[in-house]
Amino acid sequence: MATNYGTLQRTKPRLRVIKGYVGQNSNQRQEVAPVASGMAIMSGMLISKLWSTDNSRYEWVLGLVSGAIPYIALQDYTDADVLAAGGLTGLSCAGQFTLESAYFVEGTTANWVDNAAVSAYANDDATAANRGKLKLAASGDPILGTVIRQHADLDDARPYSSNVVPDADGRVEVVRFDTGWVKGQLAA
Amino acid sequence: MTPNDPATIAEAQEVWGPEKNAAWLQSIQGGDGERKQAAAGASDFTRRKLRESSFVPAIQAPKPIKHSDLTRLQNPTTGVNPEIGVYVCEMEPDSPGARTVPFDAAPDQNSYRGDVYLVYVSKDQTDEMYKLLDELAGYKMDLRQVVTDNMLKDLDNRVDTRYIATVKEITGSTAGVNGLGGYEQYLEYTGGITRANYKYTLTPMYDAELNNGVFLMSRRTAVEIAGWGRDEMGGDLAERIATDGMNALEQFKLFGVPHIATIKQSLVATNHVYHFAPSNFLGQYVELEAPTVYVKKERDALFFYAQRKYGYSIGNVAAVARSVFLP
Repeated sequence: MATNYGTLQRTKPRLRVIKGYVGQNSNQRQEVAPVASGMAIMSGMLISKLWSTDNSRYEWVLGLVSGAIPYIALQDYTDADVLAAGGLTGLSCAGQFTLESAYFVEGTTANWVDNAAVSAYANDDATAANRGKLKLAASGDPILGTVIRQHADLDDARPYSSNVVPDADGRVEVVRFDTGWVKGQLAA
Repeated sequence: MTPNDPATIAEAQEVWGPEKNAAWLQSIQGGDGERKQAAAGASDFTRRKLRESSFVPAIQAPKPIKHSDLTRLQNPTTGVNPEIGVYVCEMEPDSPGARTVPFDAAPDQNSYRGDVYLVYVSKDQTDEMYKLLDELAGYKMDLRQVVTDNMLKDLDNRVDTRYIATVKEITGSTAGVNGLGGYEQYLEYTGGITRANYKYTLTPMYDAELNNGVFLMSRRTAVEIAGWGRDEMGGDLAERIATDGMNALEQFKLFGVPHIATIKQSLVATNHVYHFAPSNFLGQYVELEAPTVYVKKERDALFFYAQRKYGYSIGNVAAVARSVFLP
């Protein structure tokens, strides 16, 4: 670990709310809940509330939970105020937001075009690394929203992400989408 | 040492303090601009070689700090709670820019936070020297003082060595490959140090959208500039340099950039030039304990060693570069 140069860097940028952030205005669709044990939730990841029988409460888990409202994590699970409060804030995908997240599985790059449907992996996906990540919706997947401002590529947040390690191409790749989750709406 | 010295000396003596540092800096930045004299004092013994103080303060002035300025960073997930703190520094972030829109368009939103870098503090120390007083008494020179002075120069060499190694790590050593700052920070030129070549030393900092603060080279490298003819140096200055050497320059300054010519060729190789942005674009250099000599006399033996506690960080990795001039 270099200790004599460079700034503290994240591997991925925090969630950016491009449209719809109103601070603590009470009409912003968000929830605060504890983080389930073992969940490393970072800002920008897809999370859902899951009932914990051990703790008798809903807790955030990574990924889509069948029948539950999907959220995007606003904070990191290690943020000091999250630890102090015992709760992390999630922005509802049923709310009206335009979001930018670095947690995704790219799939076919050319398919990331305006109006493409966005979904996410399930909380019990066979590949643990996929849980909490967004993806292009496949047939039967719940639709979280639609891609915006992208054309056959991912977007680059490097100009305003000086605290993020760029990839080998010098980019900080992100996806942008308008939220628009409706219960039961699945990709064709 | 004389028979009248105290039986036991337990207190630490600060031999190289802020006043001496300031005097050294003055000899670099004012007057001739080149380090005039590194060795301390005159005495009745033959010196082996010149010894020079650290050149890092001329690049980045050390900032005295106290233990209360350090922050103990507890790891929130592992619960590791260090007893030794770090010095937390801040740097401005990048900005997303602006766009042109019609009158009734609403702005995009974005949050912002400052970048942070940490200065880790550690200790440099010399060997503990021991000597029988009976053996010291046989010398005409004050051998203890000579060794003490050299110890302090060794401490200075240590910080210079570490600093140059850090710069090399940032710039890399392969021409045509970007350094950690995201642009070419290691450049090679063929044809030696000519004015036509040397003017390009201004460009790395420009590529990083920075100004040039100070350049560092060895005295040996500076000889190449002394060899510039009238057409390269520009007029009668070439003649004055031929007679007076680099002392003909009021300041060692080329193309508007102050230069440091160090005697430490083992650290700053011949025909290598190091570029640094102004210090407020560079990073932080903090000093928790100035160079201090600890002296102890036990019966007939004298023990002493020197140490200093400090840390540095080149927070802005785009603020350094280096050029190598090949034949």
